[in-house]
Amino acid sequence: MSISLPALEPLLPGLLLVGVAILLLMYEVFAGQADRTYAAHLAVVGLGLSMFLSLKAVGTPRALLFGTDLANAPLIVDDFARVASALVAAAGLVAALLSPSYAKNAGHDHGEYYGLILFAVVGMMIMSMAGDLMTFFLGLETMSIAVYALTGLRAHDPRSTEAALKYFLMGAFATGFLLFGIALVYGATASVSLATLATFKAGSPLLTLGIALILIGFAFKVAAVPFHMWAPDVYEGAPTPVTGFMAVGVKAAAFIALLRLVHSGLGVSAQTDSTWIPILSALAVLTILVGNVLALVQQNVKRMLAYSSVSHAGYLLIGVVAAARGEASAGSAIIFYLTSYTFMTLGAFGVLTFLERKEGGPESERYGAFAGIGFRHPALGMAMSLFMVALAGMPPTGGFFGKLYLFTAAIRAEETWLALVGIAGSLISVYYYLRVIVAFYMREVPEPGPTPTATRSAQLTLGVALAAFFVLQLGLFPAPLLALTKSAMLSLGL
Amino acid sequence: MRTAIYESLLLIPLLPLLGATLLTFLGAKLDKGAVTMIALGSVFGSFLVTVTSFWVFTKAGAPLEQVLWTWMGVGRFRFDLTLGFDQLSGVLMLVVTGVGFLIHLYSTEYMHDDPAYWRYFAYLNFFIFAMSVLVLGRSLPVMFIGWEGVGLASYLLIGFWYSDNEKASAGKKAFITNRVGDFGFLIGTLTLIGLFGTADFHELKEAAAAIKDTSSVLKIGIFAGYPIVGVLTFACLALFVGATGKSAQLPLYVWLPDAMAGPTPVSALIHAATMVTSGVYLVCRLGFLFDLAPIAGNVVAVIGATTALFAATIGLAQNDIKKVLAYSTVSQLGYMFLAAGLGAYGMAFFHVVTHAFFKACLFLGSGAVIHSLHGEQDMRKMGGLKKELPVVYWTFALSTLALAGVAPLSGFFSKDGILGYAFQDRLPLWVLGFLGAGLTALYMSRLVALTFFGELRAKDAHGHHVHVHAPGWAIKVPLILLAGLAVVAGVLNLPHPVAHLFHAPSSWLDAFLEPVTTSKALHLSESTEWGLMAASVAWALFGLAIGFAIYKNGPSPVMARLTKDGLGKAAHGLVYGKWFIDEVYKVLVIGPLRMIASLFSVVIDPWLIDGAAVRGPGYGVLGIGKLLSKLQTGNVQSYAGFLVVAVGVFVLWALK
Repeated sequence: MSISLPALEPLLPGLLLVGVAILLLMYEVFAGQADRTYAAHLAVVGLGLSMFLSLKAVGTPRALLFGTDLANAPLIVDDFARVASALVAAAGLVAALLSPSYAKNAGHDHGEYYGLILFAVVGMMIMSMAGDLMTFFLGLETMSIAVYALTGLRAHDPRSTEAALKYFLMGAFATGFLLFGIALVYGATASVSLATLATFKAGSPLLTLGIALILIGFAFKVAAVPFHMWAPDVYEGAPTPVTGFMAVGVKAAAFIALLRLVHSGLGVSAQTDSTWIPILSALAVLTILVGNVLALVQQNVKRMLAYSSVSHAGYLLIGVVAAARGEASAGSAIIFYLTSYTFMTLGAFGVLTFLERKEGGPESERYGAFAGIGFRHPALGMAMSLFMVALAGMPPTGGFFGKLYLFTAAIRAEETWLALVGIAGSLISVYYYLRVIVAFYMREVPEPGPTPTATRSAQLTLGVALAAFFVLQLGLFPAPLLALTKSAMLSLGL
Repeated sequence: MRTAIYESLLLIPLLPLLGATLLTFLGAKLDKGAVTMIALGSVFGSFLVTVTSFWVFTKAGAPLEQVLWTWMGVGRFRFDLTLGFDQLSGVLMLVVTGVGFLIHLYSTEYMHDDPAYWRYFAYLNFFIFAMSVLVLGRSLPVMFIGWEGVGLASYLLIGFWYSDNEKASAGKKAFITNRVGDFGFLIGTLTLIGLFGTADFHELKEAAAAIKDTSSVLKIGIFAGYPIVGVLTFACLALFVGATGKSAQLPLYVWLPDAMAGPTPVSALIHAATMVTSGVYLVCRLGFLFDLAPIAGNVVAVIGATTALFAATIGLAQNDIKKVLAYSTVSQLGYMFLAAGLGAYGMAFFHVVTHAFFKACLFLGSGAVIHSLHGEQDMRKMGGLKKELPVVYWTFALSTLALAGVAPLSGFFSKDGILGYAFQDRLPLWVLGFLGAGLTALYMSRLVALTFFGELRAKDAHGHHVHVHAPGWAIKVPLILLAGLAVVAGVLNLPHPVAHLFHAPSSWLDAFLEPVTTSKALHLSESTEWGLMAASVAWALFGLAIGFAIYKNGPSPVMARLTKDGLGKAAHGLVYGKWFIDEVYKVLVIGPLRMIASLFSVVIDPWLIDGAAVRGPGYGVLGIGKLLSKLQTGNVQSYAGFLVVAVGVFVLWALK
């Protein structure tokens, strides 16, 4: 196999990020005690450029790398991969913007931090391009290892270390299942290529078992119930910007890869209806209900957001069920949802970052700690209200259209009952999202007690403003993104 | 339908919106001059764009449109945010931005000493924005955005002096009454979308034109099994409920008199010239649907004529100068609906335009009077202002003559045209309208006599005559311009005989609006028309003369004796008490509502809803949550154990 440089051009968005990441790591050796804000800037520029390159290539023909046809190319750069790459790059970009002030406060202002974000994004990109299960696994691990490290960056905080260790242990467990599943699939079909998998008409129990284990790996990564136990602890312990990045980036990449797998027929198409749809539906329902119900009882806003992120995985699983049923609009609904979810979640974590106190600690993240913030920081209060309203799925935000398209796809796929469960879940979620707004505006400020003070940081402000802008933009002008998602799904042959 | 793209339409609503935004966020910090600049500049800019658009529209010979974006597409229903500029919306936009600018100018002096000067103009700019969205919206949903927006602006401005409880509750009354109407608007819109699959005016018109037989029964869709005409009648009536709310018709008019609690320029702009006519605009806009649903048209005409007479009687006995004008507005809106209901959309719209001029002038004039007397609104305490405020007096007098329907002022042509249609098609309604016209002349001459003639009765707390504060140019200029328009606007739509006499184009406005909304023709013979006109003028002069004779020296002892006892007292009491409609509502609507409300608040809400339906499941969910969170031990070994069990179940299910 010979590799010529021009043939690598489709990978440029990813290679660029690898370059920037290596640059950051190398420079870190010589940087000494200097302020690392430059690293954030460099990462943001790299991610922005990468996003631009990905989006610019949308509409051009599919490129196969290191192979000649779908059955043997490990990397497939089609519109689907490009749109997904742009999405994860956007998630990384906003997360990088949220980071500098937090990193300084928390005392982990290292250049590697941004390098790790970039590597994670590259891993996510590879996941979206993977034409076979091994490539997918490589991408997944590239992403996961970077994120494990990011989680533990606040090394002097026991919560952070504990989270990293838990995440790593549970992740290793899940990866074991996933890898075992891939091995079984290979054993059953003598191939790991998704395209080959799609041609199988009848399957053996071995293949079924393999797919089941792979799905478990996915379920773990998106924190679907009952594979979610790690999520709240990890989300709570990780540095806030990392939590945001994890909640959106990892989830987006996993769902994107899952969509590709689903469109390859989930192994055996005949089995999809009888086996996988009931199982996926059960996962979706469990995830929505448990996620929402547990979010309801949380007293810590960060932890509430963790469970809320679990419940959003549930809504997305409804879309996966619809896609497995062959509903053409489900895929684009999922990408739309992921995009709006990315901005509203990162925005919410951005506001939390603003309000984080230097001493940190779970006390500063309780609802009560945010009393009166809406009046003391009007812009922040408005932004947070917007994100909460968007997460609850109300117009005129992107959250509304995300849910609308997702549930419409479910109804079209004749899974109306799933849409109803989704709506019931959203109904529950309104309570805890509005509770944040209530804390912001309608709670008495405890007079002597310490109150969070907003950190002033241009990058952070820009990050939250960008998120707010896109949340509104997607609610008022959903058409451009919808067109993009449609061309992405078209490139999958739909 | 052929349309021309014009990308500057957006500027018409955008400029005032920009002004409102700037004033909202920066207004408190800016000085008065800057606030004035922003507020007036944005509306004037919007007016200029309207004029340019009108010119472009005339040259293009086709309606202008600008599709801003597709807001959503669900199934076969597409909802575009489209602005449209055609004959109907064009003329109304000229009125809205033109009169709107004059009233902004007037307000700079009227509101000069108000500490919340910037807030006032932020609201006023926001109103112009919302009104232009209402008018330019090319579909019912876009119109609804404006419809709600003007409702909000109206609410904010009625309750502008919100620290006064009575004013704040007047704002609430307006808002709540309008909710009832808005609900009708929504039902109507959704019905039309259900029937035609669109709410775009052009597409609706094409769809309506394609209906061959309105009595045929629908076979598919959500209205399957119903005749088209039935669904259309339902939709039109629902939309008309919306119109009665916004345009203060029976039975939803009650908010408008109370809305006078707002600053007087607001009453002139929102509660006389523009917003309250949007119901008429809606009916004219959808005339092609009302034509297909004759029953709905009849209802509109009957409600209009009844309101016209009914409100005029109340206007006779009010002592607050603004209340008289408010009831007069309700009454005049009734005439507009009478015309629209009869299919004379051009005439209805003509009255919208002329009424905008003379009623805005009257309100602004009353504002100048109130301003000059330091806030006095009771006409019994005015008098003799003719000499003190000559400009106000003359403009007021001209507008009064126009409103009373004295030829050849504008109000004469528009009102007489409406009565002509009523005479031709529905004689009983003509009788109502004709009686109302006489009463109009009567209450207006009473108003003018009490305010401007006789002795100056205004006294301060010590019994001294008050110093009459003379208005400045910012008040005078709008008055003069509006009075001038009130005098000449009649030429827009001259009746056939008059046009014939002067070799002028007859019914120009009707013909101009033809492509948008086709008016029914008037077939009266020339001699009948002349006769009707003569009768109208004589009747108006008669009313004016009587009112003037009784009240020229202030509150009349004759009237006091007449209404002292017996029938006269009863009649006066009835009219003075506004037919006790507010009280009737209190007993029939608010009373039962309160009873239901207290039933709910004492029994059903705390026990059934809160207890059984909300807290029950709520606590249930919370309880489940607490239980589930017990599983979340924080212990990674137990997580791993759980994971293994979950994997086991998952795999066994897959392999089952």
